[in-house]
Amino acid sequence: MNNVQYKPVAAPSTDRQLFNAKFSHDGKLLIAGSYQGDLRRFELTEDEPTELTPFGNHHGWVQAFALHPTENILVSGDSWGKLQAHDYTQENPMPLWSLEDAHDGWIRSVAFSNTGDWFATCGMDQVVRIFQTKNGKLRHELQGHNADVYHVLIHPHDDSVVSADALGNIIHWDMKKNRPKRQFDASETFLAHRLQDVGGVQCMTWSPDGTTLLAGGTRPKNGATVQGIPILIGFSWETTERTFLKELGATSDCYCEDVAYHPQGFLMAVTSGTPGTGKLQFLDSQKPDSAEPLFLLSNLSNCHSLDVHPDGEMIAVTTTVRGSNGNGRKVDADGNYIGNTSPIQLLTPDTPME
Amino acid sequence: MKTLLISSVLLLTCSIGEPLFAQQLHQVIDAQIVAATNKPIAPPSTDSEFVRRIYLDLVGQIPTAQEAEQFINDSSRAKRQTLIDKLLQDERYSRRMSEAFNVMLMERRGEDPDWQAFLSHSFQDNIAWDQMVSSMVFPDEQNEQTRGSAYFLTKRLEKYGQNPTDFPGLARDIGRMFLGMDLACAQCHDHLFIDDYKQADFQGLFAFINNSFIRRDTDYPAIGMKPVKAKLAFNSVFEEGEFSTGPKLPGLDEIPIPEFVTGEEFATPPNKETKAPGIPKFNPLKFLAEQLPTQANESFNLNAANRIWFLMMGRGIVHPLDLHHSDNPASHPELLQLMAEEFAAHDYDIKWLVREIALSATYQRTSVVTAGLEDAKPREYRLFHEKPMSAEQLMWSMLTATGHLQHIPDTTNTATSQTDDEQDQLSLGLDDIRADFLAAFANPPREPETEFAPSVRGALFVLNGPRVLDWLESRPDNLTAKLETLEAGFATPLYLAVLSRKPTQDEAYKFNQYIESNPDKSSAVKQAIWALLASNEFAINH
Amino acid sequence: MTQTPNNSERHPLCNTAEHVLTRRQLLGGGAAGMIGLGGLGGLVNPLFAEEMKSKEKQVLFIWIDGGMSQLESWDPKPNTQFGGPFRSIPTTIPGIHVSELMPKTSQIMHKLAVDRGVSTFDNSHSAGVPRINRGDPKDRGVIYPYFGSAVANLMGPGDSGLPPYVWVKPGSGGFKYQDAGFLGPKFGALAIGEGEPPPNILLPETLSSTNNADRNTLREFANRQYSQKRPPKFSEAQNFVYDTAQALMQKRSLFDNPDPKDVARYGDTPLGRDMLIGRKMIEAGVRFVKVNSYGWDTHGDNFNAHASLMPRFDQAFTAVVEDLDARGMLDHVLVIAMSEFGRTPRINGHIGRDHWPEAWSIAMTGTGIKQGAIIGSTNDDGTWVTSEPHDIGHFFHTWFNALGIDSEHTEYINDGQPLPIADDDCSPIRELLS
Repeated sequence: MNNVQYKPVAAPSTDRQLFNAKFSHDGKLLIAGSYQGDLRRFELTEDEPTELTPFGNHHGWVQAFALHPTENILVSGDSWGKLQAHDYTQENPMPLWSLEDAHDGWIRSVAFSNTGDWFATCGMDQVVRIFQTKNGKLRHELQGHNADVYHVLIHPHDDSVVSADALGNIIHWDMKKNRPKRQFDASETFLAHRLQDVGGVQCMTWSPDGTTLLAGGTRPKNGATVQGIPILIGFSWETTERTFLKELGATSDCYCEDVAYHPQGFLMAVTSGTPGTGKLQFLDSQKPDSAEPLFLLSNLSNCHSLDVHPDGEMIAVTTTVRGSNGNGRKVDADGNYIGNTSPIQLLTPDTPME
Repeated sequence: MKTLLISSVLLLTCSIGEPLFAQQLHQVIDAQIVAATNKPIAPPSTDSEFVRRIYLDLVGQIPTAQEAEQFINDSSRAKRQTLIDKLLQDERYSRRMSEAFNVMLMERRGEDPDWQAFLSHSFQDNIAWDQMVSSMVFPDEQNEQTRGSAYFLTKRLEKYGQNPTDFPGLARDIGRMFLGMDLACAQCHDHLFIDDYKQADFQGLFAFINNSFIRRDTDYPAIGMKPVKAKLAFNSVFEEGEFSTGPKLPGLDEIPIPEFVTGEEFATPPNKETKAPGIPKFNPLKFLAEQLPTQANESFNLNAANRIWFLMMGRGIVHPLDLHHSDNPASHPELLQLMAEEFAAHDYDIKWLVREIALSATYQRTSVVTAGLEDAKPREYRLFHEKPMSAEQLMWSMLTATGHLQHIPDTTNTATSQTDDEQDQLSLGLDDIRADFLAAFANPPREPETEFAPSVRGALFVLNGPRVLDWLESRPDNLTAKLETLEAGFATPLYLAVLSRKPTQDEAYKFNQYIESNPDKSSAVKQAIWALLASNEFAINH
Repeated sequence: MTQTPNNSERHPLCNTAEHVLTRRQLLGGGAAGMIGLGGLGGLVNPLFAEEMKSKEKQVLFIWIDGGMSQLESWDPKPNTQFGGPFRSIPTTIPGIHVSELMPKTSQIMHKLAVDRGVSTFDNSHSAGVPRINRGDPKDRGVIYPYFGSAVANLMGPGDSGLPPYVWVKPGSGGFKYQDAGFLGPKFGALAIGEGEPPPNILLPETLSSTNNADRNTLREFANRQYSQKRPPKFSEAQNFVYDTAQALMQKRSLFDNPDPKDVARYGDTPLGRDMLIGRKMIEAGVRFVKVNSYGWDTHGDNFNAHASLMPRFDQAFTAVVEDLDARGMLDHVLVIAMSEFGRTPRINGHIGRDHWPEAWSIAMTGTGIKQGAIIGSTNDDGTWVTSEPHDIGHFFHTWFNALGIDSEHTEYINDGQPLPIADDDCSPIRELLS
């Protein structure tokens, strides 16, 4: 494990920018939400990944989606507040159900319960909602955040619902009383700068044994062109006490965008820089705050998400192309304005180096 | 006294009708200024105008009433030259020059005791300008007297606000301060408006300093240098292609970067115990110190002469001072050229050049507009144009005028019997006063103080600020106390103390009448002093 | 191998003060040559000057520094490639939508005029901010004044006793002469920083009003004596700052704690605070008030940034327009809200938007402006202007005309050189004028 090395092997991309690429449970598909109202799929074959028909009659950005733990069901939420369920293995998936106004505006995150019978969503309307998977029926509405709710997570043992917001407040919900039960303090991920609320919790995950809750974000330095030190904070699930804080880079590295445990036991985190490049790093899960990462890949443009293939080897990192035509007026040969893309970096283990 | 040998080229170009052999520089200045115009020239200043102006310019404060009166009443013919020579030997000369050069070189970025020590020492000992510049760009850490010169570099490498370390700004300021060239816009492309400024010029300067850093192992300003391993690569935002350069001054050859085997770059390797950084064998700053302040470097000479001329005259012959180029021509190019050459030939003796300018009739003209001078432009030097006063000049002058200066011991004089504690207390007092004056009258950091820019903040400071009002309170031997003891004839001592001149009849009547007729004489005296302290005549160097 | 220089996209040196070196070149020549400018002395026609004095028109200029995204505000393109996550919402004008991030503004849309076809030429802050603020005139070898200094010069201070150009902003206050260009320092801005009155604004308690009057009478007497025989430039500037200082002392109440009800309506934010001071300054009769918001240069995290920036702008902007409207002041106050450029349609790698002068929007209302005029258009992607593109010069003409100044026939006289007050290749946008 100390010598783990990964290298990029493919980087499929679409004509629209993408969010949060995830592998299907059978490992044959790679799915991502797009910046323009749909979901994109790639079939993973021996050769290059091949793009399949896009699906999902969404609007705006499809940042939030999750896969059912056992069935071929995908629930996705868009930035206009619409929520849908699809069988993502169909050639032309049609919605199993659809809720036009599941939230008022931007849905940021979706998470399934352990059985998959229900799922949780959260978003810009500061509310967390619990829906039934089979019909999209609303079961709970959880109010108590005072800001845009960025991430929702379900505990692997007891289905506890945890959600984190733009102010760095993490709430463990009492589902019987529909109110906060406990809170975790990640407020150093937040800064009020000039007119702007900067930062907030960008991502969360559990340790495999469910004893540690991890929250990632930035320790913001300024707004506008946001800069800050990417940080990962560990909390004891039992006591809500902080167990560690890991700085994942310099001020220019900005956000810790996603964090996940690898089946082999180490911890993975990705960052997206401003103006730095994105980084993928592996940390010792026993002592994540130790100084040196086990592995660091720092030439991956800006990284926004992480997922591990069911084979336990390949990982997918959604990136966005850093080089910007920025302030210029660059057009293609036909005079068309050029948009950006989000290559999904697929990485596999390299031969360990001694 | 050295005299000038005027070159034949100059003789051909100056066409003023008589040969200029063996003239002193101040005479050449006058001849050239006069030759450049066919319009009326102002008469000489009155003694009152002159005494105030020369005190402000050479010792940084107005004369006391006694000093002013003594000069005005002196009937000797050579009294102006005598006063100039006396003030150049005055210990306050180095204070004034330190303040003026600090404002010019640091542009209000901050204060540093070692830097102050470097400036004080330089002007006390009349250190040559080329040597001063050499110290600033390549400080000698071993020399305790001069090592504060590093502040010129280190302060500019400090981060401010959310900006990254401003290496380009440092390169730019080396160009501005020592070559009179603002290459800022040539950083990214050849200059759009100024054909003379090339991107390569900027990048060449940049390559001298882009591996420098602030040393953290010293308690005085010190600059370190990382080993320079390669040329500097740069792109133009307009032209395709990769360009590169080593350290290079405009118009000179690029300095080759020697190659060292890895591990062999250092003359003295880094010391982990003392945390002293390694001293590389190749230090571009050494070359900068060798190539920049040299007789052969025409831009260096022109810039220096122009800046000293500005200090005295309030306007550069090239103005703004950092825009020497063909589209911003000098008002008097031959004169500037000559001053630059002579300054270099006199081993960059600042005091010599200041003296020559002070001796000129051009400097000594009146600032009063008389017939035919209504359209006089500053660039013509047909009359003496008003100049702004620096925050320091205002401070010392207000302290002098009110007589409060005597209540603040001279902290530069350390040979006193005071204990260290007392000394600290007192110098703190002066530091506080200075801080208040800077806050009220100085420009923000990085803004050159070359134009007149009075502020509402400054006006409110004089109108309502506790500092100046406190100095009007009666204290032993201060101006208020002196005037309070009088029964009549207030105006003359008042005007001499504050405006360094005697009042006109109208003025005397107005002020005497006001004080005499006021039932509260003490209060009336204070209002009268304040009125002159707050007057435009006081706030302007004219 | 070569080293890479510090090649950030924004060149730190090319900033406002430096890129315009002709400004500094001419501050020496031009400003020094400026003689005898009274409040209106820079105009060609003195009769016109008299006429202007009687028109008590004012300007509230809201400067959104760094570049507000037109796509997250006035010109949304929802559900398109570059449209971002946000919805658009209907406004009080049928068929006109704005971003969901400005719900309050959507309810006063019929009071506003918006041009969605703005196309300017500078994509850097460094050059863009001054170019836009000066109306991007042709290079005539002088540094043109910012709009505020121009209005201060052309229309004079009025009879409020306050300086003609007040700049309400976060950060430092003080006297900012740089905006004035060749008009000379007295047309610079008095800046109110952090809502704080300038230091030393209170007359010391130890000084009676009689003594204060006496000392100033003597000071003015001394100044008359001095200025009889000297060029006017220095004395005028010096008198101006003293007069301004004393006028401010009289208006100390402008800086009193605001009414909590106002704070609730304007928002408890720096912009809410400054917009409220701006309204008070307009009410007190200041000719030109610039209210400044910083922090809009969203190269990274543009969408979360606008999600918190826009509602705060929305609240303060709507409150001030409603207040001016309710007081009948839109009849004589011109209100403008703008940045130095818009932001790129393309979403960069930092999920930000970069600088985009090609196609953006400017909003305005008040005197001389046709309310409800939503003009100009961009294509479906929001990438280019499809209507006749309007440069900043067109807006300067439009605004001068809204203020009753014939921009095509009024000139500055700078040291004998006549100079058009707005780019002579441009003309007023008639569709925006009432």
